[in-house]
Amino acid sequence: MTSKKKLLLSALVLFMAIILPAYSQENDNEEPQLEKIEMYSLGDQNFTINAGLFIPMFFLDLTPSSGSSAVASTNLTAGGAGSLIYEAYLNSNIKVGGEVGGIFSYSPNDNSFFMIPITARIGYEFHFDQFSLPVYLGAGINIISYEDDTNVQMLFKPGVSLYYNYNSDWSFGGNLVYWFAPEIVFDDTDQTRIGNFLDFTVSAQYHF
Amino acid sequence: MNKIIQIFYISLILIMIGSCSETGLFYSLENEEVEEDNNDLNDSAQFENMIDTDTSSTTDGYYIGNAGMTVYYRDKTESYSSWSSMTMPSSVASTEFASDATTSSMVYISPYLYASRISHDGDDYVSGVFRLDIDLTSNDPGDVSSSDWTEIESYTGDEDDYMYYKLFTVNGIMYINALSKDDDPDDDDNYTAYSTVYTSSSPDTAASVSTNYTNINGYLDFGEDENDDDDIVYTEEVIGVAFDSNSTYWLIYNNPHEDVEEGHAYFDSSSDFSSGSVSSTDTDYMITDIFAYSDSDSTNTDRILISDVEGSIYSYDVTNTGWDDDVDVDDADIDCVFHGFADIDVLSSDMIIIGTTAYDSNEGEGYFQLDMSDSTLTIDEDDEFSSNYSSSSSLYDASITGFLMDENNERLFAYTEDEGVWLNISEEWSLE
Repeated sequence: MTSKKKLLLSALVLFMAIILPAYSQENDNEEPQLEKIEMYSLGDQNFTINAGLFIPMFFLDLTPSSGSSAVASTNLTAGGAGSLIYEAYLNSNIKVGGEVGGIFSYSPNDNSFFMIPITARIGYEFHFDQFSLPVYLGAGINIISYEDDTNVQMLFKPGVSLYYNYNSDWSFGGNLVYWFAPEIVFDDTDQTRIGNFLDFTVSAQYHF
Repeated sequence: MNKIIQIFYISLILIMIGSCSETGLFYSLENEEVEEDNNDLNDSAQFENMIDTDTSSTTDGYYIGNAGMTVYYRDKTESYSSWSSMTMPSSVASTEFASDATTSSMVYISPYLYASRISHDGDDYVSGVFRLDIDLTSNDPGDVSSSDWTEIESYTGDEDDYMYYKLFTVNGIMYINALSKDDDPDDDDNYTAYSTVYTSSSPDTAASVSTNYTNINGYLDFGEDENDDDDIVYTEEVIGVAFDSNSTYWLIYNNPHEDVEEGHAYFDSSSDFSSGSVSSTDTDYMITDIFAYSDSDSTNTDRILISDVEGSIYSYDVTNTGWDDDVDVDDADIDCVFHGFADIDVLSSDMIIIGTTAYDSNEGEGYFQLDMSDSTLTIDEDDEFSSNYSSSSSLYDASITGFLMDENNERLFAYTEDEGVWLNISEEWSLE
């Protein structure tokens, strides 16, 4: 190789040794564009099955007689609760749906007490990491059965849940719901009461 | 969106209207008390009859209850005591009762107890009427053995030919209604049923029905009935007897023919209805019970009350010997068939209570009160002598079979079809 050729080759090697790393470093300074993807959107739906504990709290008498307390024991045992829920998302956080459920409990003389709530509900769902925390309000009717009598009342059920999003199809978690159940007795207003109950259930939720 | 909100509000209003309750279920639960069970009588024991063997004493005698396969008794010395079972007759003549033998009815004509029994083992039917020849005012029913019972009538047969006995008593007179189903030997498809009523004024010495009782069918216009199918269809069937303060005997019976159901009330000065001045009143409905009310203070009108399956209660003025307007049961909340009466004047002045019974679509609804001092005779659903008779009690919805009022001890028993036997003491009901 002639001295000119050696000089040219050295220059080329030097060029590659200096310029190429510099070029790479320039490209390293540009971060990739990240695009945020919402967890849910309009059209997403879920179906939830719940089962757990029914906890009778107290009856509230808004017009107690003199000397009587407005709050009285329900005399009911703790019982079981279950429900099925369908919901559809309006956006990533707001969802609407309906719930059909049932509870059972027992009176002091072992008589069976049943309630079947049928409610519409609206909720707002917070998302963090792999968890979802919806808060919601249900309103509808409550079919009550005790011994040979059956009544239909209105019902309000505020509640909160916590779910772990196992994968894109399934979530699992628990729910705490408060029952606010007025019973109006027009024939004898002294018998009008507001039932206050809790239910605590665990859930399996399927997304589709 | 506005439309959705409007629909929501309208739905809520409709729900509020529809949710109005006649009965406060929460109120019932709030006030429910544990029903005390006093002793070892089965909570669902169904007494057909109940007897006080000594109505003149607070401590002597026994309460006896007929619960079909078992007859129970207990003493009266304590308000609450355990029930025990009595030994009943084990056979008629030389034919043993089957293990499912039941006491179909029971009456007490002091000092003796009378009972009718029936059993069937396959196609073999055995039935009979018996007298217990032991004075129960002074002897313990627990000492009774099968041999202490004297047979005064019996029948052995099969499913196409057997006898069913019902016993009634009033004013010391015994009435036996023998109902039979008999295969017509001339036609295998044609069955005959007939009913016979016998009476005796001295049942304590009567050796048998055939020798010492009088057949009074002719005075009551009873007859045979032929039926073309295999159903058990009885002809006229006695429901009850009564004796009013005018010394008039009453007998009520039903005629449950397939096409026409009728109730009849016969009344006469003679206990065998033979005086020739028998009066009768027929109703278009079958009768459920009869009760003779007599006011010890002679302030209220003495009456005969008769209830029927349509929920009516007929009222007969004993003093003026004529029928009055029916008892007023027009309250819309009261739609029952009545059965079982008791005079509870010692618990609530001038008051009687009337039980209800399940019949067809009607369910039992416990009992109601009737103030006999009120000439309008209006049924009242408010209980004025108990502190715990409410919708939270199972007695409140019970089908009542009958009452026993022990006036000396101020104890009131209510025996039901499916809610056991109840005792009211000091204004409180409890389960026996």
